[in-house]
Amino acid sequence: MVEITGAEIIRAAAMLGAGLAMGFGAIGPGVGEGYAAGKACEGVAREPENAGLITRTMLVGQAVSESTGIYSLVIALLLIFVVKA
Amino acid sequence: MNMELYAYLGGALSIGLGAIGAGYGIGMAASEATKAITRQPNASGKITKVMLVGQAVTESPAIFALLIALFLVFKVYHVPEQITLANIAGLLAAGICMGFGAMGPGVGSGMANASACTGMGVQPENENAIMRTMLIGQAVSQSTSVYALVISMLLLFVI
Repeated sequence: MVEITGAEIIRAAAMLGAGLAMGFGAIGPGVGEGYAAGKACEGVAREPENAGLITRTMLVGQAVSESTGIYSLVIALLLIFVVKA
Repeated sequence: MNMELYAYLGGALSIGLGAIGAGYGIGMAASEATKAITRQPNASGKITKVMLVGQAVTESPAIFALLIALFLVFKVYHVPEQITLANIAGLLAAGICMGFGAMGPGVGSGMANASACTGMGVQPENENAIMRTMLIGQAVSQSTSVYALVISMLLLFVI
């Protein structure tokens, strides 16, 4: 049987928070990076001679878009490993 | 506190939510591929190939969600001796994390795949360049679902 203390509740809330942070945090970058990739595909189809330039621009944009996903990952890891109630 | 309840709830949330994004993304790709084949019926084989390769990649966040759901459902057969409230919350959190985490990358990869099919309908002879760009873009787009998988695994097995 589980004993419920205040410290246990804080720890459990941190676990739930980690799941929520990474779960919702992954939605935005996933969609945004896919959108960038789609437009890059259309561009490459139209002008394949500029494929290198288009791919580079796509990757730079995706890296910036990725940053919020990495913030979520960092916060989730902090909640899992740093919160000691 | 009942561990089975949260394990089953987490598993249901994981695959239930995780299937939404990939399903929608794969459907978008199929619709664009259909349009492209209507425009270029002679290139139907090439367009179908790009569509299927892209859809296979788009499917992977849903497979991660299925994996986490299976772990959660079979977790109830291995109940540890010492179980804390944090462990129980971790089960639910793992399901929520992977479920929502699979949604965005599924839709995003599907968008990339759909646009690649549109591009194939415009110029089917550029198949290699389009396929390469699509796969690079999808790989980057999927990185957040891998983060969600890592966090779910940590919530399930480490804490």
